[in-house]
Amino acid sequence: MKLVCTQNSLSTSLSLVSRAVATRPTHPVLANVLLVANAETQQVSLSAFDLSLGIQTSFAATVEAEGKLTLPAKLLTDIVSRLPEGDITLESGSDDDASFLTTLTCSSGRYQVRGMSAEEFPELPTVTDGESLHLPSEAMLDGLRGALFAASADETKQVLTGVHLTLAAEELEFAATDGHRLSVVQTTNVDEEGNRAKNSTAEDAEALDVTIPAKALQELAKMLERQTGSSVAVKLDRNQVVFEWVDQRLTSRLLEGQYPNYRQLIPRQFTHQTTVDRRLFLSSLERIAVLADQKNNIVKLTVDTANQAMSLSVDAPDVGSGEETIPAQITGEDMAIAFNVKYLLDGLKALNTTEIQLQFNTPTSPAILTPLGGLKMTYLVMPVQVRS
Amino acid sequence: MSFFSPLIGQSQAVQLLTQAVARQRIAPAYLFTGSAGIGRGMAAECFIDLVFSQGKSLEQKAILRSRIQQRNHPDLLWVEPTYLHQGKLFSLAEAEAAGLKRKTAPLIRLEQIRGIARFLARSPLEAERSIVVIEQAETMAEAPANALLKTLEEPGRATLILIAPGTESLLPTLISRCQKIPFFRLASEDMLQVLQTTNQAEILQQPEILQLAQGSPGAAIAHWQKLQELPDGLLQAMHQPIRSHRDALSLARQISQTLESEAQLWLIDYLQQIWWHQMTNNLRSQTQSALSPLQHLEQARTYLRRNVQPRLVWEVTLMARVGT
Repeated sequence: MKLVCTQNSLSTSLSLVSRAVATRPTHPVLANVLLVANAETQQVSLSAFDLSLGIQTSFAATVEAEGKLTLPAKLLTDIVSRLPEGDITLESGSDDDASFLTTLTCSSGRYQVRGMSAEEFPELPTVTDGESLHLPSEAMLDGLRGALFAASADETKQVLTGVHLTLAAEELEFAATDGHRLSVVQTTNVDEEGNRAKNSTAEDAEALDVTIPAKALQELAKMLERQTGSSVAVKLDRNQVVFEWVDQRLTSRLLEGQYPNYRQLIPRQFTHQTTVDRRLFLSSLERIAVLADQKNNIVKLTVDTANQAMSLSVDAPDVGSGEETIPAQITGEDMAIAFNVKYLLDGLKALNTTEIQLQFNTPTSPAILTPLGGLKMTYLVMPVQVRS
Repeated sequence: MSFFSPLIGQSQAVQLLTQAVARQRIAPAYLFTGSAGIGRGMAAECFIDLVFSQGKSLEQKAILRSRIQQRNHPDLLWVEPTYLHQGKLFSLAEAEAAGLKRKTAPLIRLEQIRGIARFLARSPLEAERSIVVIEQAETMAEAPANALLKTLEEPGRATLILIAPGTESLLPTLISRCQKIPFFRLASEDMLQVLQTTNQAEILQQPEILQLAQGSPGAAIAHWQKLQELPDGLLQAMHQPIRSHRDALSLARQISQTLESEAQLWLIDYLQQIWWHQMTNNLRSQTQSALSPLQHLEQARTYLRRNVQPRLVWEVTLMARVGT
């Protein structure tokens, strides 16, 4: 194999795929990236896989001799990222060379890295006979930004470490929860030309729902932000999901198990409704959080109907206390309700309209945050019960 | 080509495993029992090769064996006992590469058992079923063993293979969930064949090593390597009768200074073998007191295990030999 490429393209691609390399891989070859050089298309593709998440990307290069091999991901990324800009030549010996010694030449010098046979590298999973559809990437990104943060980071929570995706005829619903808060985002499933995303096989109105690990979707969001294409091809079967666009591919296993029926958790009617300016609320809350972080993360909201104001207060014993008041449009009676400040902050950051609506019933039943206008998003957060 | 051709002398195990595949009745869990070094690990590799190659093309079959041996097959997880060092797990080979000082024996840890559960939560990528091999399963403490129970009972589309020296060393709840595949020590002609095919024929010239190995080629190779690691003069000195207390003291100093504690324990094993052999040859000395050298060695082993100062132990042991 022999190829010439720019330092920039190799380094970018390497740092992209190396996110799918496990820090302590269970299989030796999975510490490597697979490099495939294709002379016909003058493209080089890089893949990495940790048995759950797989990322493949390709970039243009001058391929003088075809070939494929695997190279240690960490070593290669560290070397290439530090090389000066300019062309890099990658050359490996004949295929029968047992050590797969690869020479990397740049303007400032040359390096030799030992690789492994490409045959050892497992193929990234493919979905041949499952559902296949095209989704607008903007809608994907909106949904991911609004839901990902609410997924649980606790490995033992199994299905809650993922984001639940429901594909209905014209709507795409993302939901994530960690048991304390829930974020549901509905985006349209129609792309710019007005084509329905579901392909012809989806005539039956049955909605498709899957749970995808949050880790994979975080990578997907990062990759989608950087690319320009307008739609993402999604293929899925019982075990795997594959996202494909322009020259990149991300595969992930699906999480098994029944996702909680979150729709029945969302209350339909509310006795209290409060509309506040999001930035004002957020910045007050951030100041309050400084004190709240010291003790138990609890912030108390008091709505004052007579003055049309909402006050935020924190009382951290032995540390100090604080109170802020912000104007709000309030309907309902006066009430006090307490929350974990972290959950409120997460939600407020994800909602991106100027005004938001806060709805609740009693100090112990779920509260809902929704944006006014913009994205269809529902953020449910459980209050904290405080004894006064 | 037979999948089990590299395995020698374990016809019963081969029969049981091949029939399981032929009749498509592969158990969710197997327990390979038998002493170390008689081919349990190799049998596992052969079996995995056989299971994974079902319904694969010739081309894929050709590289399957090397992928399994390199532990690179995505549907295979090979679990070995590990050392815990600064919160990280190191297998035996990794610990040696990192130059770790090892005081306690490596163990199969709870973290690894959880890793198995995570591995099995994923459906197999290439093969019909995933396979997990747990080597030296006897090193599992009670907590990890209990954590394994549920996985062992219902692994999904997977098979677990536990490798252990015997059933006594495992929790009965584990054993009852596995199908047992017994492995036996090899007959001397099988030993001969194994050692010749693995290019270790020089061991055949060492009768005391073969006796020490007791029908386990793996053990024979390990003993042979240990023997070669001993400093030159030491072995000869040990074969000679010890004439004076002075000799005994200087020999003890040499041993305690040149050998690691693990090598010292091995030396005791070796000495027990040759001294016992000398005694049985020498019928005259087979009196009541003749057993004592072996007992001295046994005592020395106990002391060394309990971290008694090695030089003192060897001085006492060797001085008892003076004049015999």
